[in-house]
Amino acid sequence: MRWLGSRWKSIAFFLALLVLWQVAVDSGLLLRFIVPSPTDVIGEIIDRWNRLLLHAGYTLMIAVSGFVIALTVGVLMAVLIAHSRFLAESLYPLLVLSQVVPTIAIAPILSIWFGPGEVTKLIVVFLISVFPIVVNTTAGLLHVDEDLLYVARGLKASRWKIFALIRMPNALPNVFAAMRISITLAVIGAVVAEFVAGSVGLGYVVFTGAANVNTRLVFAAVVLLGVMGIALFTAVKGLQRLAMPWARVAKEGEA
Amino acid sequence: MRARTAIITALATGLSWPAAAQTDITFHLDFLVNGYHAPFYIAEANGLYEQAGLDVTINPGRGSTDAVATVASGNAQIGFADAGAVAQAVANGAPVTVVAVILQEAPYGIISYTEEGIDEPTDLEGHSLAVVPAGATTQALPAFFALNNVNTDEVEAITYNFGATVPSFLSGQVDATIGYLFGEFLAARNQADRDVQIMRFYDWGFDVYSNSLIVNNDFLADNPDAVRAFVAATIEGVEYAMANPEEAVQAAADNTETPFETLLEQFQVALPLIYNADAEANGIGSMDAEKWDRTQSVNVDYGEQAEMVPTDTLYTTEFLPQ
Amino acid sequence: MSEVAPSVGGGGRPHLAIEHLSKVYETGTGPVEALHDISTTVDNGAFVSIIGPSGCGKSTLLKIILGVIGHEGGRAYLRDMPIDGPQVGAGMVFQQPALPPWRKVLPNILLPVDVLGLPRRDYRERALHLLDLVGLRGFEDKYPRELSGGMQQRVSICRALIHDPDLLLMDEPFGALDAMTREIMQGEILRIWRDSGKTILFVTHSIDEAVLLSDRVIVMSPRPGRILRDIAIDLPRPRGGELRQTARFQAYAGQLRELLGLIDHNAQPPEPEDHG
Repeated sequence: MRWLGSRWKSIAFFLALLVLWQVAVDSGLLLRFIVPSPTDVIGEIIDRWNRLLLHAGYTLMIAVSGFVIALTVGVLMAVLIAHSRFLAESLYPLLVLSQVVPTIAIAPILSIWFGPGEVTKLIVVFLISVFPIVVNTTAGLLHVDEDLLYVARGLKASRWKIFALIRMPNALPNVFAAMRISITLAVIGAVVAEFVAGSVGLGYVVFTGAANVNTRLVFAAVVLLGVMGIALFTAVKGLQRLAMPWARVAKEGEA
Repeated sequence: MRARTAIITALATGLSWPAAAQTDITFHLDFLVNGYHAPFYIAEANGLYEQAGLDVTINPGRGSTDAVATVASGNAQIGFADAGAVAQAVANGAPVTVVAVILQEAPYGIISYTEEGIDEPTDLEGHSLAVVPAGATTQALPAFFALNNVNTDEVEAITYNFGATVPSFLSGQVDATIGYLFGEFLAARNQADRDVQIMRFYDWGFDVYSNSLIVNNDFLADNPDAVRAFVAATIEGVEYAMANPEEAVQAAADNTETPFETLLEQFQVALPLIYNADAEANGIGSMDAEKWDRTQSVNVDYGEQAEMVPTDTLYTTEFLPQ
Repeated sequence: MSEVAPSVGGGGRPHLAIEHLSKVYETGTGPVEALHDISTTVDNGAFVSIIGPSGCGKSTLLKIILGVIGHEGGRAYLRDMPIDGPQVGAGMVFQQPALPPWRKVLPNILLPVDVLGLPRRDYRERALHLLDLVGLRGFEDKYPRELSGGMQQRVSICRALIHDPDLLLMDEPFGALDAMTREIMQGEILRIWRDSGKTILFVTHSIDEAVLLSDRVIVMSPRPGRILRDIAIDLPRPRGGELRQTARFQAYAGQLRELLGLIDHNAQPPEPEDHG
């Protein structure tokens, strides 16, 4: 009940903010071509629902596919890094490089190299979302309870057994923590890529709206992007609940 | 079904049997879909390209530099790009050639409220002006100022990011903004509460070419007939769009989120630049060395282009309809 | 079964024999000698404690015996076989329970079975029996985080015993528990020892704990770890908490305290004799 109570309060606060925003635009306090009102934005979404859904579907497809590639490759890279100091020393500079070079700056170059299609977009999403996965997963694979490792080694556990029975499940919370960051980065990546190339996706819609000073369209796309981001984030959290049932149980003394 | 269409097409266009397969062409535009692209979309929608033996995919671009690079890298065979950007890229070794100039005049200028009285270039002195960090206008502006003896110290140029110039002009942060006829000018005019005017550089002696059809040099060498057919079909599209503007604009509208009305306005203001006096006299798409050199010299004098390139490496009229 | 540890067993040979063992760690500031010339034996079924100040190499010694870290000089034998790698015949319990949080209690106990690649079903009954032994029957489907520290340590002991090793190595197993739980666990480990007949090598910081549990207490010096004294605890079994009040217990404790440099002049040692 208390939880519900506080939840209602934040919803009420949010609604009050929307009303205030509406009034500010309707009264002319905020210029409509700079900030459209909430009803303008909702109207725009309803008017263009079918087209916007198409664009949203494309962005979702790019973000999720790129994310899955980043997750797969990221975890594999983490395994290699955790496995060998040599690989760690050769892969880490590349990873850091991928992070310090702003993706937004190299995305146009990527689109020249790989064309304006899906390949470029998936590469952009990958580059923007892989780093947290590699770094967090590596930490999860390496930061294993020393004593547990001694127990396993005392039983002649092979590297593979230690990996499968201890390191991998031990890294799971880190993988999910990284996934929560990466899935939102993946949406950003998809939008950045659509900014730079192509003619479909919510990022493209934002770009088109901005080019024509059609802020309503920009806001409509941004709202859908927000909904998508929250939905994906929630989905990852749900996945985590399924994959890590032990994290859900109450701690001794807290039940 | 497709095969039959191909046969009919082959017979109709008088190609010798057996008909060659359709040539795939990716056509990379200079920017997002705009009204002035309507001729291309109607050529595509009405099957003008298909009848010419071409399977054309039109991709919206993100600026002329991006379009030139995409064609140069071979990710597109044909592109649409500002003449200045093309000259600059060719000077840097980009393997592309211009085969037709579609926008015969520079489509940008200074946008201001009519009541402000910025009617001549020197009127800008004492005013603030929104400019963008990159693009054709960044080198056109100093050339335009020089041509008209404007004291640049008296003009307060403020750089805004792309897309922010019009809102900053409308909200009164600047007195004027640089912008495109079929872009910023229309956006400002449609949202302003007062009359808005544009002082086009072209009208003040800035006589250079603008958006042109460019072709990747390897593709050009291997498929001269396809390129010739493409240019012809595109010019046919321009003529069709001039006669049927609403139908042509609708074809463009089917490929963008920009509303039909906006696109129609864009097309209407762009048309005089496509079909100007030169085009009327020499044909749509025509060009000459003198104006190409003028176009290049702006780059050399005010831009990053190191030196003039021979015009015959820059363009060829060989593929224009005779 | 007698609770007094036999001085000889297993065919007259000691369960564990260590001869002139030494260990040097390479550190950033140069080599550090952790253990210096350690020699001792542990008889079959004996309960032997090692006590000493922090950093005296007690834990290192246990890990060498488990075969998970190497040593430089000397030799170590388990059942006459040289220790040159992991010893499946030894089970290990640390100060922290080290239970993977993603495994429920039963799978946690079965971890060694999984590591050894043995069929789980053959060990299920034994795991449940061990849970019975430590009073945790009914908790097999709980996750470690649902258990108290003491319960987790019981699970850890079950895990160390699941593959039936005959040597149990315990590295301050009750060091992280509160005083009350600690006393209960001391009673339990004595019961488990008695019922299972395992040999136990037990590292502790607690003088009381060492005296209460052990047949012998090995006292080690600060780094480099050396054996200072090896004291037989000649107290009757079964032992319980009330033993602590007796003068003989106090005397052993006092003697150990003195050896460890915590001098207590009031204690009267009852003619202690060195073992061996």
